[in-house]
Amino acid sequence: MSGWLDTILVVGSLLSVTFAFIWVAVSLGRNQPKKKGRDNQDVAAAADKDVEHIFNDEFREELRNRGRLHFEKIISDSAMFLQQDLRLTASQINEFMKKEITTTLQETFTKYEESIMDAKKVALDTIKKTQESVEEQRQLMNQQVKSEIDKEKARTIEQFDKNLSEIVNHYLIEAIGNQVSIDDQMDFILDELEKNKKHILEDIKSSY
Amino acid sequence: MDKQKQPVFKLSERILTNIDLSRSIRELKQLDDYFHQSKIRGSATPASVLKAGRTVEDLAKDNNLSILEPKDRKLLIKQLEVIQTHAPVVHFSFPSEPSRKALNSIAGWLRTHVNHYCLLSVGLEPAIGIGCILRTENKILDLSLKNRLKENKVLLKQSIEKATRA
Repeated sequence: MSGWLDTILVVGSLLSVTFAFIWVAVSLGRNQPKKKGRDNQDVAAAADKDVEHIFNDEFREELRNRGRLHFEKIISDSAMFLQQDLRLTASQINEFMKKEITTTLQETFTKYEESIMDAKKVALDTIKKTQESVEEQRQLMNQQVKSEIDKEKARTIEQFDKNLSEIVNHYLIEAIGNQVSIDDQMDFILDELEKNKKHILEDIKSSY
Repeated sequence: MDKQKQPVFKLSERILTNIDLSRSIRELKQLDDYFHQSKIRGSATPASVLKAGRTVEDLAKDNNLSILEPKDRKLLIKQLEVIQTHAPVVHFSFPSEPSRKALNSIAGWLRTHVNHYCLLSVGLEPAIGIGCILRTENKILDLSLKNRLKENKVLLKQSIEKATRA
């Protein structure tokens, strides 16, 4: 900002000096008394001539060149200052942006991390609850299955116990049924008849 | 039954079932008819004697009777018909077809221990497996192995448990 101000002050001072010369020249020309006549007119013409002689084209060109050089220098300096300021500003902006972005990112990451942690906590809680529920279900199911197995086992044993003779007999029939003739069974049959002799006798006597 | 007491009429061992008895009666009647017809024709002794079955012959021999005598034939027929009417018939169900020898043993036991004129009636029931089922007039006696096992269930269970442990 100070570079701009300096440039403006330099340009203003040059313009004011140029304006002062012009004003002095015009004032001198306007203050010549008309009563003096021709002499005065000559003096005035001589002065104009001197002025013209002093501020001739070369001088003006010289002044213009100096002014241009000075202006260019000022412009160059200003440009340099502006560039430095711009670099500084850009650097500051970069720093600021970096800082802001870092802060924002850190805040965002912090929030994100907090969100993740919360989500993780919720998920872990949910998983834990689910695992507990599954474990309860598993235990309940185990108990039910065990109970059913015990019932089925008891029922099977009861059935086996109840039909033990039929099962063994069936097995014997399947195993040796066709290989044992009635002749081979005669001892058994006669033994059974002997055992039931009393019943047979009683029934025969009562019937005939 | 008193073993010492001998029957008045001895039933042949060849007559085991009521079917055998019916067959013997039929044979005897045929024989009697044959002799009767021969007598009517006038021949004192038939030229070709109708051959009597071994059952009838044994029956006559065991009871000291002659099939050539009309009186004896009539007596035989009458006795057999009385037996057919009044003899106790015991029905046996076997898992397979019993042999004649087996039936003879059973009939022998019945005639020795229960009644001299017991007759058998035989049926088949494969589900019995081992043993038989006896049916009298009022009772059914299961003489099968299944029933024996059922009666001795505790022993069977102990045996199975012992075998299982071993």
